[in-house]
Amino acid sequence: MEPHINDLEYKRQEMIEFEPVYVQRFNSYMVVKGLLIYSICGIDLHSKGMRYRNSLLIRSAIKWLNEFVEKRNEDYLSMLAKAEEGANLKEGLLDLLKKVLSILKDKERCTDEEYERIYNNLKNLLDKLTSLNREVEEKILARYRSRGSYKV
Amino acid sequence: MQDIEVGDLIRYRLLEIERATRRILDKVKGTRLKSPYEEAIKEFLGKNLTSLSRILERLSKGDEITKLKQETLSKFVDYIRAESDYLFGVIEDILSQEAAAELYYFLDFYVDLLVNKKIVENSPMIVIIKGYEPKTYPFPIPSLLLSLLSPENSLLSPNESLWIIEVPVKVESNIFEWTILLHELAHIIEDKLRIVDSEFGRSYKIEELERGNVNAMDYYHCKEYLCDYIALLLCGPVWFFMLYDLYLTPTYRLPYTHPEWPSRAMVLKGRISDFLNNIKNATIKNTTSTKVIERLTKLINSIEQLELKTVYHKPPQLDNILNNVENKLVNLSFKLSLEDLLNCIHDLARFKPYISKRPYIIGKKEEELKDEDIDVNVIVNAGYLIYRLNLFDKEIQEYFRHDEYKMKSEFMYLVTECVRSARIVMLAKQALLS
Repeated sequence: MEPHINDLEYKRQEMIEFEPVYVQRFNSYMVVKGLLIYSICGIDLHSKGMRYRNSLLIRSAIKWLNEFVEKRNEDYLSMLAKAEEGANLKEGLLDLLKKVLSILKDKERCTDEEYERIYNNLKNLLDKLTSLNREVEEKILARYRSRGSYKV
Repeated sequence: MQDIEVGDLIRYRLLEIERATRRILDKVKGTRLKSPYEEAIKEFLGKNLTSLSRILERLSKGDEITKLKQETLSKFVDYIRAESDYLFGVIEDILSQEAAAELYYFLDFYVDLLVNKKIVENSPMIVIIKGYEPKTYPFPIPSLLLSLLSPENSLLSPNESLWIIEVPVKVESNIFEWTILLHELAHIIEDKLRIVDSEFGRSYKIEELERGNVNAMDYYHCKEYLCDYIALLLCGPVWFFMLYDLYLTPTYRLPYTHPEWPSRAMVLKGRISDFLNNIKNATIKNTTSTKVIERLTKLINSIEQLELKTVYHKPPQLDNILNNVENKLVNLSFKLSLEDLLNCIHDLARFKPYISKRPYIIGKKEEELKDEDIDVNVIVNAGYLIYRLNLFDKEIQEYFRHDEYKMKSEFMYLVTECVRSARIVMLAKQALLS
């Protein structure tokens, strides 16, 4: 075993740096986060009567969901699955995303309770995802935010 | 009342980001990049920033933002802010921390080689910036913001990418450290060829390495070994000697994704044993060259001693991966004859610029280009060995006896100029042959 890796009980603080593998993880995280954020915005607006014809955010959510559901990128799905608890994680998540897509495309009608339930499901997923990746997000953004420029 | 105030504040926030976007766009337009891909890079950045600016403007002028629940809104704005901070930060790095043009002359020689040998279809868009540790990563495309304006562009696999190679400041001023750029270039090639992924049958995430998964460790280490090997195929033994030096004087902090320096040197040693044995067994009559061979043999022997000290874990997939790449990149393998190397050492050690003595043979294009490939490699390898083994001519050493630092600085300028000249000569020959 290599001298610097013989103790595989790594120290997290030492691991997380601006390394390409973490940049890659951060990029994937931002993609998955984008999917959830836009889905949440889409469901929120849809529940208030807005439709894709007049909403940039709903159209964006549809674009994202279409790609996720059709292309089924395993890396992204795995990242999302980590934020979920229970059996049949990936299939369950895909069902949820398909349902959201169907609602946003006006192919399925939804009650207020259903809107609320889906909204909460998505929000919980987002909170869990954010908390799982907080450290990576902070480390990567610290490189740029600590300079103090373009901070708004 | 409170809702209207929050809505206005959010619009204002989005407009502020939009304004920053336009400011950076102006800066992109007004900044000269040294990269030979300047036009393409500026067009790429401009397209991203323009799309972002338009979407932010449309969102801030529409009323849908104000219809969102406050908690949704806060998550949305936080996301946009994170993405724009990241995007602006990377662009700022590109615009303000770009490395010297000479690094591109060097790197571009090898990029051309990869394109000419059809190992990659097109030159990858690359920008080199100054940072802290050598690393390579793709430019973060704000894909979700592009989605509405470019429906043809896939979010999950964008059509084009810009690669950022980061090198420490000290690399910029030391030509003998430029070979590290080739290891970084190899990461871009590896990303395109996916040799390691196909051998392992899958990719591994960093979390798996963090959890102590040995396969994940092997996967990441194989990537590094492979990139070392590609760098070796590109530039020859100088990269092997460099790895040994990096072990002796640990300059870079190695993350867990990387094997230790001696292991890396050992893997390469196995791959160029023929070349190293040729050096050790060379019979040279010329006295100056004999001295060079003696010192070089001593260096090789020291590296071989390392083998005894190294506790080396060899990933089981490694041999297959390296053999596979050897077959794929068979046309690439460095061609460095001992005779050329000694001739070049002879000239450069006397501070005499090295010029290829090979004739132009217009009409035998294939053969001609193969010969041209080696010029830069001969210079870099010879230059490094003179510098590393102190092979400077006695008269040169005498002249600079009170200022060794100046001698070495002047020597680096000389080697840099020779590399630049060799590149220009190669371009001129290619133009004549086209």
